[in-house]
Amino acid sequence: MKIIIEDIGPDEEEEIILRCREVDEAVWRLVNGLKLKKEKLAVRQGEKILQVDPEDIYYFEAVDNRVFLYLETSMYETRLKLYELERRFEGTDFFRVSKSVILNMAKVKNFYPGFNGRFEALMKNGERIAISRQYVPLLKAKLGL
Amino acid sequence: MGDFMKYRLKEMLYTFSSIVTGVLFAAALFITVFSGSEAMIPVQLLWQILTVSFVCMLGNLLYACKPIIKRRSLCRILHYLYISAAVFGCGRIFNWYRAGSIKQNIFLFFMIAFIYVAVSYSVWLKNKKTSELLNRHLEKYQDKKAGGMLNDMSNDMSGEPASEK
Repeated sequence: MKIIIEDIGPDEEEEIILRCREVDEAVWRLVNGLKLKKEKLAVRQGEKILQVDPEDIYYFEAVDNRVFLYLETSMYETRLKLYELERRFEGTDFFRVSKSVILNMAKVKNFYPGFNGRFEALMKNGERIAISRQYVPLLKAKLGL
Repeated sequence: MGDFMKYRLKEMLYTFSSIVTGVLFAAALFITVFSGSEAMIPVQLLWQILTVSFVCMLGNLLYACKPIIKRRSLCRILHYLYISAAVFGCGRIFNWYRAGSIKQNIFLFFMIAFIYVAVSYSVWLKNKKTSELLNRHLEKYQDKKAGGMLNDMSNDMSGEPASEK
């Protein structure tokens, strides 16, 4: 496979063209990975609006009709609804694990069993996220089980 | 049938079979202690064991009410109380024990506690195996990502590592 990278001028628009025989899983991974790297998420911190790199996000959580995103040690609020975030990050590492949480699979340290047949995800920052039973089959499919 | 329904059904069947095993063990012990090893048991007892196990299994539906019962510990206490009431209630209906016998009541109380712990542990062990499998696949998933997307894509398309090209 040939890879061509061209330098462009500062005023030109960046573009990526993929020429392939079929759009298989590898192509989708590449496209979604690029999408994740390019898209910044606008969040509020008091009166300020900040840009957050999605790769730094550990998880999103909806609490009382407000949606928060959690980084390693900080938390911000976003105007987007959980279903909008789910749609926006479809096919990326973000995965819905309950009605109120979408987590970043790249930030999961491991899964472990809770009592009563539930599972929990231990995040790389030490936080624990409960996984609803109804999302376990989807999680298995996401991990290729 | 959806994946979730299949998963829940499998989970319920596993819990049911664990409870049946526990109740069968408790019944054998109870009969041996209070009626002796020579005692004859009626065929209905087998159906009664299955009925009690089924009623106990329905207690798991309490965990589906998590939005209503916010605290998980409260859910667990309610579950345990439900199972105790189900076993003592069904036991009375099926005449398994004499309500006036303190010995039999205490024995039943401890058997319920023992089976509850044993079944919970058995379900936890099964989920531990599943989580180990999930962790192995998570590791692969994250390794694939760390390996670099272009390199990965190149491997997928040509079957050779990108560096060798």
